[in-house]
Amino acid sequence: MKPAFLITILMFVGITSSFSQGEERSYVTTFRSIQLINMQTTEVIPQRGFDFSIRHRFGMTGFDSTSYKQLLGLDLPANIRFAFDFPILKNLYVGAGRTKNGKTIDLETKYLFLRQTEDNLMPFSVAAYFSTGIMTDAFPRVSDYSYMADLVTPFTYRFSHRLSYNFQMIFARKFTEGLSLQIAPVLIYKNLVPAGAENQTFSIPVGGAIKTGLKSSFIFEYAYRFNNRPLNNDYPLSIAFESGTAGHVFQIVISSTSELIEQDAYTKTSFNYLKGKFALGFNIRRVFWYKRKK
Amino acid sequence: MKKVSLFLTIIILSNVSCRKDSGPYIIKPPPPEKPVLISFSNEIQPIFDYYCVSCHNENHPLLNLKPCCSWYELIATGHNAPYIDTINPDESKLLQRITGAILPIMPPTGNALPQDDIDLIKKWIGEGARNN
Repeated sequence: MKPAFLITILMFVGITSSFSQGEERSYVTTFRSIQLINMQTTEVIPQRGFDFSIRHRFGMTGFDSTSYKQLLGLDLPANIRFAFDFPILKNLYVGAGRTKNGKTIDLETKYLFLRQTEDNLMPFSVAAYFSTGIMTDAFPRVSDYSYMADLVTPFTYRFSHRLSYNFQMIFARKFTEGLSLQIAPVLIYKNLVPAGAENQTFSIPVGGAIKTGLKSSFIFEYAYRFNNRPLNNDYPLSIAFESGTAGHVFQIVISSTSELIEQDAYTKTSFNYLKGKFALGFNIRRVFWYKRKK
Repeated sequence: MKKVSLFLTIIILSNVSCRKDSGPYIIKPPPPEKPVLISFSNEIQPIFDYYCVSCHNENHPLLNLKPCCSWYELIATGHNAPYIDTINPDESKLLQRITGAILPIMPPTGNALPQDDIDLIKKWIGEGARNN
């Protein structure tokens, strides 16, 4: 299974790199930034800049007394992530981020294999994204009667239990000037999962952007899961209004999850949006330029 | 090229420790078995019936040890009641009489009570001398 998977990846890289070596073409910018709301896009950071982002989700609220008692969740504990991303090659960037939930530090990288062209010779963009999360918070205490899955070995935490991985292939297409859609099969692997859960989770987030003005869009995403399914099928659903310029993107988010990294957002149970539960939030993203455009 | 090497090194290092663990699975041990209390009616009274009742019956002026009234007599209504001290079982008059700590030893004729029966009565007193 593993060699076959590796060979497929290598072949894919080979084919796509031969595409990339072609003549200069006019490429399409599918989305405004490297992340849609929670999911990654096919966009990468231009080589002459670096990207700084702050993403914030307030506590869960709904159409009940919490909406005014907790001021739409603003008074409740929030989750926040900030990250720096640097391009190290054309179409390849690496980054590091830190998330409040789990005090998780993550290292991420994305490579853009194929980019949609204006002449539609290449009809879509394809990127691969990989990240490793390191949970640095204290492990929760376990009782004296805790065992590993073999039910014989006493349960003990290890450093590797802090690690989780996330790999995704992202396919995106700008269909019209006003509509872009993308799909990103995700494989998440956690070294330690709750009792009874599987270490690997397969999810397939879909998302898109509908342009509402010259500098604004309505964006949305939804992530279905094939295993480790959430209770009551509460999959993460997010919508947002996006406003941006060339170097700056601001999003106001309504999301059914307050998790900010894929390892948590696509494995944990989200809020029940059918019962009106959601979290407010915002994403701010800024690209700083340190080289003049030639 | 240096950048690429660094990047690849980070990626490889981040993957060196893959584990497939889940848990914790909680298995609580079964609760400890409840201690079986000595039954007065099934274990203590038969001793009285065998060794004592021939004298200590309704005709005895001080203590009646027949099943109808033995427990009440020992605790409260006997002539020198209480015959039982649940805090210091060895100080119980009942026990002192059958062991000979206070004379005359009971029963005054025939064989003395076997040590197993004495221990059983002592244990029953230690458990609170329940009328069970």
